[in-house]
Order: sequence, then C-alpha cells, then structure tokens
Amino acid sequence: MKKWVKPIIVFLLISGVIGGLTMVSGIVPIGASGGHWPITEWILSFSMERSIKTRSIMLESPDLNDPAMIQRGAGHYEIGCRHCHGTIDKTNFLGTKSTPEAPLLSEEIPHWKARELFKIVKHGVKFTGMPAWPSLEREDEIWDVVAFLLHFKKINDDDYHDIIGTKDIIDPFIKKCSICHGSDGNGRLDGAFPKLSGQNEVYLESSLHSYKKGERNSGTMELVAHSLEKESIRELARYFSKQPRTHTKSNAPLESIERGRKIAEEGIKPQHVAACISCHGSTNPHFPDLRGQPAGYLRTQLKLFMEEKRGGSAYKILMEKAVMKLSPSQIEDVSNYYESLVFKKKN
Amino acid sequence: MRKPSVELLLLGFLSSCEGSFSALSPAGDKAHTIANIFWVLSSVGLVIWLIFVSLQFYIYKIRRGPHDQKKTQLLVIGGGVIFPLILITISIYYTLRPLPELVARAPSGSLAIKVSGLQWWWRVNYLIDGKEIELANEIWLPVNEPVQLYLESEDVIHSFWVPSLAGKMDTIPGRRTHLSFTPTKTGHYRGVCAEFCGTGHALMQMDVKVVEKKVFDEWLERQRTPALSDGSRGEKVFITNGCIACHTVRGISDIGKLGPDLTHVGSRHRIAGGILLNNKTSLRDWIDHTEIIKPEVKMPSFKMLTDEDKNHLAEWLEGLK
Repeated sequence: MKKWVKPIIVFLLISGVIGGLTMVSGIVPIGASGGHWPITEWILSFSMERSIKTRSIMLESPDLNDPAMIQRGAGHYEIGCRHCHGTIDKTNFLGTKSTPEAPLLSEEIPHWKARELFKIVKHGVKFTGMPAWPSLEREDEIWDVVAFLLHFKKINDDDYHDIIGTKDIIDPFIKKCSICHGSDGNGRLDGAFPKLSGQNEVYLESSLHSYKKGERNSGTMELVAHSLEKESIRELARYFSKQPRTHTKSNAPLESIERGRKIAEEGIKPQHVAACISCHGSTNPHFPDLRGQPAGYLRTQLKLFMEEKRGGSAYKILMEKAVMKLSPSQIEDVSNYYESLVFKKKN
Repeated sequence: MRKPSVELLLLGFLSSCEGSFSALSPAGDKAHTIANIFWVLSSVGLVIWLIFVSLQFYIYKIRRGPHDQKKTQLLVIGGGVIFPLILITISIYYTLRPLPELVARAPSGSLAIKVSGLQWWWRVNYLIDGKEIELANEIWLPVNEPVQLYLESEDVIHSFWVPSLAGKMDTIPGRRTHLSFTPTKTGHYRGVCAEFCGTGHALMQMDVKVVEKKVFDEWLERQRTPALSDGSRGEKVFITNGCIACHTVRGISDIGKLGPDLTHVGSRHRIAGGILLNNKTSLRDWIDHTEIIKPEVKMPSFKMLTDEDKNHLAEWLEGLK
C-alpha cells in the first residue's frame, strides 16, 4: 500500500501547481460569447435541476388560477423577465447572448412544477444570469409570476400584448406604469392593482421613494422605482394624482361591508385595533386615500402590515401598531368596506 | 478610622420607609391597620428573638455544663410547644380579625372610581351621577371620605397598589375586584403595578393626590369640562397625524378609545404611565422616543413629524390643563 502514497501526493501537487498557474496566468477565456463545453453545461444544468427539485419538495402552491394573479405576474414579466426570456413568437434576443442561454420560456415551463418555478424565481440560479427576487419578503408577488408562467404556455404573442396592453400607449413616460396601473392609473384589470388615480400626490411620491430606497417591499415596484430620478418621481406622482378615479362596483355581501364600516369608524377596542378613519379620513396627504381601492390589494397590504413585511414611509409604524390583531375575516370586511366607498375628490 | 457603624447602615434603610411610596407612613385607614399589624408582629418577633438569643447566651457563656433534666424538659415543652402554639393562635386571630374590615365595601353613595390596568398604564373612570369621566394615571381623592374602587383589567393580570393608602389588589381580565379605603391625610402619594405584567411592568405607575373636599370638587369639575379648540398648530398636528386614533381629547375628538384620555393631560403630575415628570421636554421626548422610554409600548414613536410639529404638539398638550 505504502508505495502508492508517494506518487499520488506528487501527482496532486503537480496538478495543483498547474491548475493554479493556469488560473493566475489568465489564459482561460471567461467571456459569455464562447459558451460552455458540453460536459460543463451538463454538470451545471443537472445539478441545478436536482437542487431545485429537492429543495422545493416542502413547498405548497396556492391556487394559481386567479386572473388577477396572472395579470400581476404578466406585468412583472414584461418589466423584469422578457428581455432575456422572450415571448412565444419572438425569441429571447438578449438571453441568447449569455452563457448559459436564458431558456425560452415556452420550451422550458412544461419541465417544471409550480413549486419549482417558485424556487427558481425567488432565489435565482447561481452561475447563470438569473437574479433572485428583489424583495424576498413578497412571496405573494412571486406566486403571481408563477401563475403567469404556467398560463404563458397557452398564449401566443397577440395574447401577450393583450394582457400587457401597452400597444396604444405612446407616451414613454407613463408606459412602464401603464403595464399594470393603466394609463389613467385605475389598474388594467379590475381588482388586480391599486388605483393610483386621485391618490394623494405626497403619498405617491413618498411611496416611490420608499420603493427606491428598498424601504417598501415589492419585487416589481422596487425594480421600477430604482431607475427613476427624483424629478420623474415627482412628475409621475403629480400625473397620477390628477387622474380621475373610476369606481368599480363591489360584489361583496352587504353584511360584510357593514361590519367593515364599523371597524373603520370605531375600531375594535378589545383587540386594540384603532379606527381606520382617524388617519385615512384625515387631510394629511401622507395617508393614502383608500376609497374605491380594490379589496384584494387592501387585503394583501393589511396582511403584509401584520407580518411587518410591507415596509413603507416613516409613517408605516402607525399601521404596524394599528392592525396587529385583525383576524382574517375582519381584514376581509374592512377591505370590502373601503372598496365599496365611492371616491370623491377632496377640496 | 472607625468603620461605618451598623446604626448608620440601618438609618439608610429606614430613610426609604418615609415618603410617597411607603407602606410604613400610612395615610389611609386600611394602610393604618396594615402598618399596625406590621409593627405589632415585628415587635413580638423582636422580643422572642431577644429571649431566644439570651437563653443561648445563658447556656453557652454563663451556666455551662449539665442542667436539671426536669426543668429542661419543662422548658422544651413549655417554650417549644405550648408557648408557640398559644402565640401563633393569638397572632392568627390578631391578623385575621381585621380582614372583614379590610375587604368591606365603602358605604353606598361613596365616591366610586373604576380603575383598569393595561400594559402599561391605568385607565381611570370616575363614576359620577351615572356618568363616566375618563382620566388616566392620576387619581384625586377627598380626605376623610370613603372611596370605592372597582378594579378591572383590559389585558393581563395587574395589581393596584398605593402603599400609603391601602393594601394591594389584583386586577384580573374578565372579572371585577374591589378595593375601598378612606384617606386620612392630605398629600401626594405614588402607586405601582404590583404584579409582573410584561416588559413595561416597572414603568407602570400612578399618582394619587389626597386633598380637601373643596379642592377635590373644583378639580373634578375642571376634569369634567371638555377642552376648547384653539385652532393652534399643535392641535392640528394632533388631529391630522393619527394621534386621535387612540387618544380622546373631549371637545376635540372622541374617536380614540385605546390609549389614555388626554383632555387635561397638562394638569397631570406625570405622563407616560406615571414615569416622566410632566413638562414640555418630557412630552416632546415621549412623542419622539416612545419605544426607547418604554420598550414594547403600544404607542408608536412619532419620529416622522418635523421638529417644529413635535414642539407645537408638546406645547399644545402641556397647555391642556
């Protein structure tokens, strides 16, 4: 046995020195234009696939058929994903220039389960161009994207543009916002997005700043706000605050709305929940106007506040303290109540 | 140099027996009874201790060697069984006898006050002519008149204790406990929560002021009157920044039911659950650093207000006399 030890040590030492010298000399090309050797490609993609499948076993996917989720996911896809992953008819132009190539989603999606897609979108993939979700707190947004991805394989390029809906918007200034919020700020699909129209200008401006600084959590909005300059933020806030807010008739049961009204106007003393109107009925422009906001959006925000995951401006602490103990059905009621209110412009 | 004497050390301890927090300087009938029990039992204990130490001294130093067996047996049975039995029986009778008086309710028609413990402050409701006047953290009482306290809790178990006026009584969620006494000496007394109730337990105190009946009536009348809106900037800051979500200032806004009523906050000796002397600087600090002064407090700190707004707000609150 002993006589084998020496040659092995010598061999390892020599390979180590050669390897080190190769690295230090810098003769190995690192450019993405060259592509991988097939063996490297295989090792990387095989281990990636194994890792994703194993590490997503414990995840449980929520119901992903909600049109509002698909719509929100599409909005994020257009802003954050399309440049590399393309759409069905159009190839993934930028994605083909990277190593490994960003997969065309229409080909890639059928290989994965919902929970695996969630894992990929949330954490990104090492040694590729795939980034992690900008705001790990917002798993709800990630499921939106997964809902869209699973829907994606069934639609063609025209469908995609219908769902994105920016074909007719020429003004480049508001084009990005319009993908989700519509050119008038009322939201592209009823109930999927918060209404920016008629919202307090100060609140919109400080929200965009919070997104930009990473103080309000959203994988989509942080991405958008990051590239906005102070001036554009002010102008966008002004533009959307001046748009008329449309009213969508609420389908919620009247009893629920009535229960919500009581919470909004009186609070719930034994649960230490304050009355919503003390801030949201005040003239302070830092507090958002909630009248006519979609119940789904309000629900999400309340839940995020309760988990202290929403973030926001310096005023956020008021909400975190005010809604600490709302039950799910109370959240439902109070959201339904504000959705049912007809927005009137303040004087 | 002489070592500091034992007497001097004892003096240091005794000095804390005086003052607004002490059960040994009673200013109420019940506190008197309790203080008396303390003094009597302590004196008896002291005498027994002296006898016992003397006996030990006697057998170790004065009369060493064997003793007469009969006499010793008598001493052991007499001093070790019969004497303690009699003494303990008397003590039990002596300490239990005043109990009915200690837990008795005040005569009907007495001043009634509902006091609720919350993390970490006291909600005080004077029940006058079937109406409630809500105040916080400060109780005024007329001297030599019985008062009936109804004690409640809105969250966990607390215990109401003003050592100079009466014994302590727990406040229990979902249940009403009673405490009644007659203050016998005018003065300014302090109270605390005497049952551990969370992070801010030690920061849950109150002020109790015993005054002449006439002064009390004037004070109550002032507390009953709503505040007047003066349209000042401080008032506006209070209304528009969410303070009204929890705090009522009668005459200005009565939506807030969660936190202390602030209608006459400027008239109180202390703020923040009886822990900070009431002045503009304290008010300003409390608005700014709420969670630093009282960790885990329910009130959020209002750091986001401009310095100017904070000053105006503190000034306005101080002016609510």
